[in-house]
Amino acid sequence: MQHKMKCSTFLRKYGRILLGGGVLALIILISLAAPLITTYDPNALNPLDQNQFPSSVHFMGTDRFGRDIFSRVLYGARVSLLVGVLVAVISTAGGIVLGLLMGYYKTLDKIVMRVLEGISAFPEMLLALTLACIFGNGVDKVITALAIVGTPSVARIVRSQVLSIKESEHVESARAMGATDLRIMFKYILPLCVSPIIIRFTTTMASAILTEASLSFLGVGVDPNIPTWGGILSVAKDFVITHPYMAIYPGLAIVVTVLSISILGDGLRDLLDPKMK
Amino acid sequence: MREQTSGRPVLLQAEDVCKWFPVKGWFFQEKRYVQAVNHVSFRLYQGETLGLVGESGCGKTTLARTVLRLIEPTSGAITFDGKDLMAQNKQQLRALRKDMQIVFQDPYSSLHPRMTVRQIIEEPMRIRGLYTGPGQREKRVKELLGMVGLNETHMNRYPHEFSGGQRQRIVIARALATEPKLIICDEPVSALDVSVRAQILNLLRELQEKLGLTYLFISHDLSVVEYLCDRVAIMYLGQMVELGDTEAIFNRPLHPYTKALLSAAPEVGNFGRRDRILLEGDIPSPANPPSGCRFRTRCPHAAECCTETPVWTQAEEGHYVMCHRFQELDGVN
Repeated sequence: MQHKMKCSTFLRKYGRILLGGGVLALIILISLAAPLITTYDPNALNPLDQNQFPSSVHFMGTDRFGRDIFSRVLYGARVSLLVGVLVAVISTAGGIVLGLLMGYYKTLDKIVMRVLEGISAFPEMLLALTLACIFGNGVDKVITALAIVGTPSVARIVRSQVLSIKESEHVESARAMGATDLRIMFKYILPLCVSPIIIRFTTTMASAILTEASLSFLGVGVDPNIPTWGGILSVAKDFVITHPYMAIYPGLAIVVTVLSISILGDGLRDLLDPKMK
Repeated sequence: MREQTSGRPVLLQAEDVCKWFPVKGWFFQEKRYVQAVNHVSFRLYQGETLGLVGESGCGKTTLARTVLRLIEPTSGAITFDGKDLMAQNKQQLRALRKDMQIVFQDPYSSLHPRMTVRQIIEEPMRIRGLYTGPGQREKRVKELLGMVGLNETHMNRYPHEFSGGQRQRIVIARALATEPKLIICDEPVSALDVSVRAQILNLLRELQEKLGLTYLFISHDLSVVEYLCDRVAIMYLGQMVELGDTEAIFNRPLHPYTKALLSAAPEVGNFGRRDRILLEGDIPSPANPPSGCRFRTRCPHAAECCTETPVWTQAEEGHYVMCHRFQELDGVN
């Protein structure tokens, strides 16, 4: 009985972290082991086999060029995950630093906020496109462009949190103790803005995967020969009505990845909150 | 007129302190200010408890924060323990904070929700780099918890696991961690149950005797002030209107506002049993205070002379008042 109790509390505490982290680890493992699992070259064109529905030969069917979608989805995970995770990490880190500084220092806020508003005034897609054009092709360039696009929204969320938390008495008591500004920002304010940051992190990741797809589709992103989930989707978009499977599988891959990160994020947030223990 | 030095060592001295908050107006409008604290001077002697009393919005809390420079004063001079606080730069000020601490009203929001009690109490030692030897901080935390009536088993818990009274004890333990000389208590018991209130007040009193602390005690509860304070200062609309020994203030109040305030409190001192003095109207806006005596719009004894600004006068030894007519009105309700 006691063992059972322990088991249930263990699950309540770590269940979501195990589930989210496990699925994510599985996806990463599969993408790395793609050459061992797949039987087709993801870039091999096969005009005779184009637009094939899923079958025992082509597990997820083929696209308009006769490329095996199963192979492409597995290989595509490499770039898509890299872009998604790195963009989310960089723009969250940048957004946290900017947001803390803006929320804490009024003068800085007035200057930096105007710049960020300027950036946000452009439609995200257009800005990403412009930046990608300036930087040129390549995964690293795309990541930089998308990180610049993603930073302002994180910064604004953090800033708004800082503005309200800054006025609370526990921050004032830290000042009364003689804590430095940096200590107050990172030890007294940041830990209390974790929830919205985690939520923003997962949405940034999902949108980075999709925006990378659009950029690749427009020819300014990743080399079109490198399979990415977004790239598969953009090829599939003309066939959604007649051959829905082409979009469903890469779409499913994106959904599962984002969901696992979101569940992992929820689990981490609750683990960090002493009230949930 | 300044307060006379009575020979006792002064820990904190505020002279002519003002804190005006700017109010945003229209583009062409004259810049206006909320005069939260207006030309307040007082002395805090070592080892005493000075009560600061007044209704909500009269500037008590702003004054307390201003004398610690948690809020920058607009003008005025503040001397703490012989050092000119206004002349200290940011770093020097941080070092001085070791000696002056503040206990806030709300024990629920003044503790970091994600730190354990031990981390919370260790924090001031960490910040100031005190008790660096192995195990010394832990020892000090246990000692402090003992002092405020908690025990070691509470050390690794989080604030939300405690009741309001216990939390306030944690706040006090944290304030004591760096062995301060001055503790400002900003309504430390007004968020607590009546049953817990007395315990915390007694704790504050015990600690003062044991550690020789000096308190600036802010409250709107007159019975609490009468119990704990050696001297009392009454504030109205950003100004100090009366200051004196607790006994003098409660038994022979001079300012009409003090009289009204005391009459509103049930059975405090000898004065409270008299008839209730009803003040008319609301407290005026501190952005647009009345000219002359600030209390004249609500004072039952306002006269022609009250349009002039009254001066801070010593009525008797250690008893100051800011009223034109206090002599005529002595003993009158």
